[in-house]
Formats: sequence, C-alpha cells, structure tokens
Amino acid sequence: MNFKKILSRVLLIFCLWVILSSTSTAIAAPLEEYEIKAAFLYQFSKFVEWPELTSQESFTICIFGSNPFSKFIEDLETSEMKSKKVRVHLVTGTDPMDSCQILFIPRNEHKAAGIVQKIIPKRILTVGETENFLAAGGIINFIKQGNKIRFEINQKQAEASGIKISSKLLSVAIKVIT
Amino acid sequence: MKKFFGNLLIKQKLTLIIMLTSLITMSLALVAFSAKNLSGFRTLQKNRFAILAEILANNSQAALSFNDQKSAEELLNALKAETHVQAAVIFDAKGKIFAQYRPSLTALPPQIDFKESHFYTSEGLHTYFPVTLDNQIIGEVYIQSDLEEFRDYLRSYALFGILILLACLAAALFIASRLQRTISVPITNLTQLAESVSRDKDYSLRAVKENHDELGNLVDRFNEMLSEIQKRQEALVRSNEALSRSNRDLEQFAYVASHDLQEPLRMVVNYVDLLTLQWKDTSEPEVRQSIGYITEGAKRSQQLIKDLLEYSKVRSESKFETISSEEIFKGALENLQYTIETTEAQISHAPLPMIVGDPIKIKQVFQNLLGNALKFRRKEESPKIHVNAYKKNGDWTFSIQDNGIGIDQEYSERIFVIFKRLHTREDYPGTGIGLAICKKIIEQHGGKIWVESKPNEGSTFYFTVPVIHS
Repeated sequence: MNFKKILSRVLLIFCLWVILSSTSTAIAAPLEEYEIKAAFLYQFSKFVEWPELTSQESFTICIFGSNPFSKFIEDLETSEMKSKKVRVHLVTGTDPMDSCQILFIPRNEHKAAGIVQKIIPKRILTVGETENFLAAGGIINFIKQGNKIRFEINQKQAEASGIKISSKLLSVAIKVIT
Repeated sequence: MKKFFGNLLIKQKLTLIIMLTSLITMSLALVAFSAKNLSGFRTLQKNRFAILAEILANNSQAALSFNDQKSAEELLNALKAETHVQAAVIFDAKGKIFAQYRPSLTALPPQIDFKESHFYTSEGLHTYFPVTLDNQIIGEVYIQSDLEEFRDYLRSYALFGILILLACLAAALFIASRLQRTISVPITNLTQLAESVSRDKDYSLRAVKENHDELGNLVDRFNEMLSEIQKRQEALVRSNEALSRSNRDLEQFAYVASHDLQEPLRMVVNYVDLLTLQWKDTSEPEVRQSIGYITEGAKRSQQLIKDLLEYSKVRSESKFETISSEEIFKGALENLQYTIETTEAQISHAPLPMIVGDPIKIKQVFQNLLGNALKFRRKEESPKIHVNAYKKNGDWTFSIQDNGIGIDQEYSERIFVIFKRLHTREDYPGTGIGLAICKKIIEQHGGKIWVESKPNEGSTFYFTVPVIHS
C-alpha cells in the first residue's frame, strides 16, 4: 500500500519533470540556423573594412543561387550596414557581382569553388558554408559545432582581396588561415 | 599636567617644547601628505581599472557580436594576472551574464545600467564600462577589485610614515638636546652660582658670560649686584668690627669704672656708718637728716654701680647648654620668695620646655621680669602672674603676663634702654637697669624681647629663644 503510494508519487514527479524540461527546451530552443547566419552576416560588416565603400550608395549583400534564409532575409533588408541602406540581391553565375560587398554562397551550390575563383580580385567578402570553402579561396566559412554556429577565416585570401578584417573578428574565429 | 610641566628643569622644558612642536608639525605634515597620496593612489587605481574595463569592453565586441562565450571567457581568464580582481563579468545587451571570471565567490551587482561608472564600497572598487559597437551598446563589462592593494599601500605608507616620524623625532631630539644648551646651560650655571653664593655667603664669586643675549645681560646685572653686595658686605663687616670694638671699649670702661668706683664708695659708706654711730644721740635734727641723706645717696650709688657692673658683665662669655627652662623658672621664684609672700602673689605656669642657653643668665631674665611684675602691681590688688611658652617659627616664645599697672604703648621701646625709668624712685624703687640686662641677655641668645600692655590692665612681656641654638 505504502510502496505503491511512493511509486505513484515518483512516477508523477518524473512525468512532471519530463513535461517541464521538454517545454523549457522548447522555449529556449536555439534560433534557427539561418536566422543566426543572417545575424552573423550583419555583424561581419562591423568588423570588416571595404575600400571605396564610401562612394557607394548602398551596402549590397549578394546571395548566390537560391535563398536559404527564407523570411530572415527581411532582417537584413531592413537593417543598415556601414551607415548605408542594405540591399539584398539574388545572383547567378552570369550576373555581374562588382557591386556586392558580401557574397553568400549556400551549401547546395556545388559550383561554389568556381564562383569564388572568378571574383577573387574583386573586393568582395565571400561567405560560404561548405567544408572546403576556404581552400577554394573563400574568406569566411560557417561551421556548425554541435548546435552552435562558428566560423573560420582565410585571412590570406582577405588580404589578397583587399579586404581588411579586424583582429577582433579573427580572435573569435575557430580557425584563421594566414 | 601643568604642575608636571612646571616642575621640569628648563632644559627638559626646552627639549619637551621642541619635541612636541616637531611631533605635532610632523604629524600634521604626514597626515596631509598621506591624505594627498592616498587620494592620488585611489585616482590611479580607478583609472587603472577603468582602462582595464575599457580594454576588456573593446576586446569583447566580437565575442558579444558572435555570441562566442568561450572566447569571452578566455578574455576574462587573462585577468588571473591581476590578483586583486575579485570578479569580472561581461553582460550581454539584455543585462544577462555572458561570461564571467570569479576567482572568489563575490556577489555580483543586481542590475546594470550600461554606463561608465566606478565607486568604492566596503567590498572594493566597482568599475563598469559599456561595450559599444557602431554606437550601439551591445554589453557591459564589470570589474570588482578588492581593497587589499589599497590596504597594502596604506599599511606600507603608515609604516613608512611611522619610521619617518621616529627618525625625525630622533633627529629632533638630537638637535634639541644640543640647541637647548645655549639657553639652559647659562641659566643652570647662574642658578648654581646663586645657590653657592646663598649657601657660602661668598660674594666674590662671578658668573661667566657666554652669550650677548638677554641671558648675557642677566649675567652682567647679576655680577653687578654681586659686587655691590660684596662692597656693602665688606663695609658692613668693617663698621661692625669698629662698632664692636668701641662697644667692647665702652663696656671695659664701664666695668673698670664701676669696679674702681666701688672702692672709694665703700669707704664713704663705712665712714658715714661711723658718723651715724657717733652722731646717733645728737639733738640736732639737721645733722641727723644730712647724715641720713648721705647714707641713702651712698647706698643708691652702690646699688647703681652694682647693677652697672652686672650689666657690663653680661657681655662676658656665656656657657650654652641644654637646660630645663621650668627648673630655671622655679629657681628664680625661690629667689623672689620673700616678695611673693609679702605681696600674696599668685603665680601659675604652663609646662615649660627644654631650651639651649646660659642657665645663670636665663634665670636672671626670669627673675628680672617676675620681679618687675611683682613690683609694678596695682595697690588695690594682689599680683597674678602667668608664665607660658609655645613654639613659633623655630623659636620658643615665653610670655610673662601680669595684672599690674601696665605701660602706655608709646613707652614700650624705651623701657628696655639702660637707666630709663617711667616712675619716680619714691613710687617704684630701682635703678632702671633690669630690663636693659634682660634685653642684652636675650639678644645674646639670638632672641627678641618686647612688651604688650595697656595702662591699668596689666602687661605681657615676651621673649624668644631659638629652638636650635646657632
């Protein structure tokens, strides 16, 4: 009788714990991956210097191919970077990319390496999310560590492209190629 | 305190004054310097931590921007080198703890306001610095450092201050003990000289002048006074010698004269006695009367000469010894027994002390004074005499009080002069030498004699004898 009572109590507490912990996980659920990446693109602009940017009317973020950010693209479009209005362009391999400050190449673009090679001398911060993106000449590459988004930087390439990356940004990168 | 200070020697006073002055001024200066230095130290400490917080804020921009707690923590861990940091926290833009470094369990501030500020509490120095990026506040750095550094500084400063103070006091003591001599030594010398002058009565001593200041001036005046005293002392000694010489001559003369006068006078008395016998049956009254006058005159002359001889003999050497004044007094009473009985006098006395004196001469004083008290009685009343003695100012004061005719106070000096009489021989017989002898004896003993009296109310004769005979 007594044992049963205790057992039922324990079960009840266990159930409550399961419910509570699952709900709390739901509440504190991490932001969606591309929400974070959109925010990071925004933050990158603060630690990177583009030469000759002042002459431009707006700050252009180009996304190659399809848009993986879905609705979070609006967060970028409504923000200001380097005191300029932000414009987001979806570009394809044939489009001119001279006006882009940031070029994001999503994971599903297999031609990434080729694109990067193509724009090397142009002062564009290339951001990718594939494993060998930096080796192919990309400048910043997102890496997922557990449920966290981190990034690595190819400083050598940035210098070659004429882009100045703040040492502060380098300090939080998980890997820096120099 | 005042009494303590008053009892110190001049050199101790001077040293104490210098030491106290140095101590107080040094302490004030040290306190002022410490206050200035400590506030300077606080400003430095504040600035140091403000700069540290600013550097942290600057370096945590990227970590906050990319939500990189790990690198923020690494940043904070670098503070290990700062042993006085109790807590360092980076808050995110929402005021939540983003990264922290807490070597000890320090309480964290309940809320932050994203402003630059710093303040001290009992726990330590709290420094806040906002993290801004592109004019946007993205977080806040908070550093709490303990007060140990300040306390260490305070301790070392206090220790240093005390050492400085002690060293300066030692130096002050050294200098003071040297410098005070310029004032205290002449004063001490002068004091010692004055003491030896006063003790040895040597007025030929002179103080040595060392400085040309007020003390030197004092030495000069002191020496002037000494030479003045010396001159007067020498003059006094000379005139005293002259005086005593002439006194001695006079006494010698009186003694010789009275002694030599006795012989012819005795002859006169003898022959007058013979004449009286031859002419005792004469019927001529004029002859008898004349012989009577001659007899009386001759006898009075004899008495006078006898007293004069007595007076001049007082001068001769005295034998001072410790004697019972009471026994002396009783001996004098025996000599006056006849008069006491015939006048039915009542004589009382208090216990009388042991004194130092010549027993024969003191007895004479008692006898003369008691004799006077009996002689100058009032006709209608039998004499009442009381003798007393008391100690006062190092003297034994004797008093002989009677209820006789008394003396007008204006004669109270004159009665002690030889041959001075206030009454006719018919009223009160006597030669007028008794009190002069008393005065001479008492002065020889180093005492004084005087009278207090009112006519018709009685007299009190006083005389003093030093308790310790010099």
